Amino acid sequence: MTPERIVDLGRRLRGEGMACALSESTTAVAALPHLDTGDVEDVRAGLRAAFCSSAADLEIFERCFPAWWRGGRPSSAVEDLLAKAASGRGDRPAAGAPSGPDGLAAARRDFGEQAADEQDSRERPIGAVYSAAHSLARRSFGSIGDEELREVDAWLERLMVRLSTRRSRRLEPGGRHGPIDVRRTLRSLVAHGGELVRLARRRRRHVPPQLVVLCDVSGSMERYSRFLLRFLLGCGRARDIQTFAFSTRLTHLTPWLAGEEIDPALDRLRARGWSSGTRIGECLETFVTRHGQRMLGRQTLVIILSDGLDQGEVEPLRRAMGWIQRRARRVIWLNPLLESSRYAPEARGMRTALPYVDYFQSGHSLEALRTLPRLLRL
Amino acid sequence: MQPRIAKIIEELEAAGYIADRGIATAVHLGLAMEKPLLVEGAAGVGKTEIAKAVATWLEAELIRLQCYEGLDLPTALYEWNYQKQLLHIRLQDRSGDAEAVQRTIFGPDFLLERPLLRAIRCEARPVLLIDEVDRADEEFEAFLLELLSDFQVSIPELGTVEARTRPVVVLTSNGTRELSDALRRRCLYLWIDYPDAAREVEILRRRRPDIAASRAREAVQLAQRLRRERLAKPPGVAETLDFAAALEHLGPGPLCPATARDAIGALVKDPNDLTGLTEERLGELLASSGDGGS
Repeated sequence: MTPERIVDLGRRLRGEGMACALSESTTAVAALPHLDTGDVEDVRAGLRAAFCSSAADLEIFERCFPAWWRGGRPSSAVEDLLAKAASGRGDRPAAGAPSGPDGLAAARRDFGEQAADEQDSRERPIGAVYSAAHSLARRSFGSIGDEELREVDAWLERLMVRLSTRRSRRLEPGGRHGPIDVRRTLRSLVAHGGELVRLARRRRRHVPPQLVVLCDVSGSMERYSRFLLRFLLGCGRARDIQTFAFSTRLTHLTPWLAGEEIDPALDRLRARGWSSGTRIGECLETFVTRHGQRMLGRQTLVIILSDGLDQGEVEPLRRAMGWIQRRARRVIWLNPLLESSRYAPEARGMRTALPYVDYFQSGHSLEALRTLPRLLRL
Repeated sequence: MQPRIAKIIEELEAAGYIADRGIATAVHLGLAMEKPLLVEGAAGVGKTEIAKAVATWLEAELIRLQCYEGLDLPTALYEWNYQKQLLHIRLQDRSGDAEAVQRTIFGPDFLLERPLLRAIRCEARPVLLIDEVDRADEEFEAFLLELLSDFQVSIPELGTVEARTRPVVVLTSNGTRELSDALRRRCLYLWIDYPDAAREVEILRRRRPDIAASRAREAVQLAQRLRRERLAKPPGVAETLDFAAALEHLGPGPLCPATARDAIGALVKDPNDLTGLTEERLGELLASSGDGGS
């Protein structure tokens, strides 16, 4: 088996969305001398160990491997479908079958999703859902009185206090009440010729949370925008919080909101015309490519405020959500439509995004947002 | 099949671990390529057991580091023996030469080695098990990355300690937190699924030879069936073992729904899962596993 063949497999896996790079291919090539390359199961198990690095990768690997093993021809969509169909009939070798997630189940799921997509594009009742959003809006946050807005502010202050007190279990030097830091105490003892002058202690470290808030400000969400902006601006007061607004395009709000009162900021932003339709997928993808690498880390909580009524393509949304979920610590989606008991996340965009969301909440009212701080305490 | 892989299956079985081909291949490559093996899978599928079996087979020392949030270098790598240092300082009180005291008390005699340093200083090639690495925080993961690439650590007071032999490294993760790409890249990856019925019966028979074959089969069938239900916490192999043992204590005879319900606490450990598993439901599960199972 030549390195070119391995490189070809790597290329196919990347094509299917696996994040494997040169280092995986190198590992795979290095693994070859240790394997019986005439034996499909040897090669399968060996290359799986070399190429995969997470459970999600296994499915991709099992999907690509049969076609790659059969021949050097580049895989076409038809071939892939054939491979899927073959695995659906249980044609995979039985003896020593690989222990990864079942290819059969994966193929079924893929087919199921395709069927669901087709069905969805046929009977997507855009108009109906949009008008439902309007009536919902009238019932809840159609208008918020000044009194209530003050309460929102007070609540947000509390939220921020709780958000900024997440303490890590990792200890750092300092403090006066924590466990004694024997190491540092001893060190200082040596410096003072063996006299105990001061006990050094350790304390739990405060971890400043990172929060990325992406807020839908499109037409269907306009009723909520005032309230939601309160939320955004409240968030902006705490450290290390990045806010974005999106409708058909993405706006990085944080620079706009620096040191600004709520109302003038709201007016200025509204003047930019944010209420004309929604392209969630494209906006999130813009976020991922422009800011994702920098802003998302494993301490980052991502809050997305949107009704999920997307007029754009599904695929960018799926890609972006997958990426965000892999990078961020938690993804919280607030959807005001959840307020209605009749609402089910049927809209195509919402359904695409849901598998990548850790918490799905309504966030349509103060009461609904009140559960949020608990979610954010990790 | 590579003869070496067949041999590993045999050797691991002799060490009490029933490995399938995927597992044996990954272990083989890990050993041959001197790469750490990252093992993931649901709770109770025997991730930790792999390291133990490999250690038994190679007759190597098993050095285990259990990870948790806040795990720091004094616990993982090394620490100074403060009591001994203190004592030494007190005994040397009169001489007054602080420099000399410092040189002595930060010498090898005062060093307590923790698992990672022990693995590096081991004479014979040890098996280093870094268990539940996802529980440790990122700072520790970053340190681990460095350690796994060079197998050397520097102790400011002593200098650099280099590994005499490369330890066999097995990392396990339960996926409570996404591990960094860099760490994943450095490792070979092994996903362990629940064993199929035949393999699970074999595992039970080997671990608890005192349990009758029919009893083991019954326990395994119910466990396998339960894993297909949508449970919050599906039973692992350890649970099946407990369950079979519990049945043994509840008296002889074939498994009936009432007995199954009595012993279900050994198999299902989530209150919500339990409420759904009435005697009736268990009866259905037992019946269906009898027909179509194994």
